[in-house]
Amino acid sequence: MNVQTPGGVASLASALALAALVMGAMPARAQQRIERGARATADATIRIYNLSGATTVTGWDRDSVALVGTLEPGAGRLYIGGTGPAIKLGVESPSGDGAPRAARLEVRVPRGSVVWVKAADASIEVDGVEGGLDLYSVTGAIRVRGAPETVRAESMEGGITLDVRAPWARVKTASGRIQLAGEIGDLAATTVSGAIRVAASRQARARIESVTGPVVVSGRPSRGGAWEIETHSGSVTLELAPETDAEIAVHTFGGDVRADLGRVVSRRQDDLSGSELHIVAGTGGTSIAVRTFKGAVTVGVRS
Amino acid sequence: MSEARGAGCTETAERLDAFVEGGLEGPERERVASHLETCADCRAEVEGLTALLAAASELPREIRSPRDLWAGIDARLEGETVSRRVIPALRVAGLPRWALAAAALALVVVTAAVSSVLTRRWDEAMALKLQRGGDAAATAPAARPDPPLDAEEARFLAASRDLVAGLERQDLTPETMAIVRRNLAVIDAAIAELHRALRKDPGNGDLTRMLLATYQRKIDLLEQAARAGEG
Repeated sequence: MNVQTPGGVASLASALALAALVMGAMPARAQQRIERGARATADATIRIYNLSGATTVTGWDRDSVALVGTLEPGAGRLYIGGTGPAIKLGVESPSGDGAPRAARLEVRVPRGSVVWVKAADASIEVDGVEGGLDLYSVTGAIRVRGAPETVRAESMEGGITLDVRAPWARVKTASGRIQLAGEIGDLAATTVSGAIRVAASRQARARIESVTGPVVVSGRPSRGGAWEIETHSGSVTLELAPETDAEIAVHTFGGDVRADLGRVVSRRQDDLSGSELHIVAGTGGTSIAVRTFKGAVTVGVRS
Repeated sequence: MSEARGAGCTETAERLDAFVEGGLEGPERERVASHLETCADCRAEVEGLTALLAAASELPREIRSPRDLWAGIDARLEGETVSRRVIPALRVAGLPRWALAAAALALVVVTAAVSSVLTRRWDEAMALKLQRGGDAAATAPAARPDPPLDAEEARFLAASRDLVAGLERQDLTPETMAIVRRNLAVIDAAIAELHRALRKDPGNGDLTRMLLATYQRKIDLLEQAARAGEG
């Protein structure tokens, strides 16, 4: 580049200005990766806010919280505060009406922590946390694995998947799909229009409710368990293992009923009260009560 | 309500809940109002419903949920220097937190009372059926009387009215509001169906219980939406 002429000086100045602009702009466009940490007690209470993107929480065997955040430009400010028994972290979105930008948070917490996570469209994934979990999203998916003490998971439209061994779980969606597996002592799953699928195993008490969403329960419920399933118009399908021992009471006002499992011990039908069916599979022992207003009910053997 | 009533009554009856709750607007509201001017039966139904709503508004509002994890977290965080700024996209606008809390607490009262009734009735009915095995008589009604439908329903209507009013003042995103509206429509359609079935068989305790359970789901949805809007 010739710098001896006035034109050359101008060209150099322009090039430098352009380079400065490009260099200045580059960090603003690139994702920002931030690592933070805090001391925490083994049973710390941890509150996490991340509206958009993804939040992953993993339990580990250390008395500390480690946070790795990857923020899109404009996602806001990553913060972490508190220490010991109470820690709060997340992404503080900038003010304004624009949609929040995505942030990906990977958080490691003491295994015995109590964790609360709030999201909008961000997904929430929790693995290996053994304290209580309270997880809320609007459209983001929620997935939990491990053995938490309690789980409360709510999403308006995001799907919720639990594969856990937990004494207590409450799961709720408006239209999000619910998928449950593992061993949950006391389970309640509720939806308006989403589908619910439960792999039955050692649930001692389960209550499943939907308005229009279909419900499928598959597997072999453990002896002594009590299941209550109620829908308005959502279909209910029990796909039970052939060796299932259960007493199944079905009542529907207007839905079709089909039963291919066990022996029917009573059946009643009339125009006002609808159909009632009482089935015993194997030696009984597990109580399953199904009630719908007009949802079809199928009781069958899992193929 | 008499079975002999005309098509206008049937059409209006399906909208009376929404009319009393203030959920009808424009021509739809005018149609119902116009019918009410000429129909004493429907007017009487509106008056009864309005009176029940007024009575329900006197419910106590000072019970907390037995398990409120957030309350514990909030207390433990109190005094920390962390920013408490509300996330802008989901901030609560124009509605004092105490107002939302009051609606939520009223809801807890209704929810606890009715859940107790519903759970008890369900458990008793199912226990009877399962204990009596093949006896067709096992499907006889549960031992306790049905809950008084009008009063229970009025409580739900009052609670849902409070929550809807609260939601309207929250700065929920349009996407969230669309999800809420879609699912409210699903629930309201189910409620209307159950009302129609109960008109054919007014003494049916199972239908009554299903209706109240469906109201419960409406309350649950509104409560969930309110939580989604909190910062």
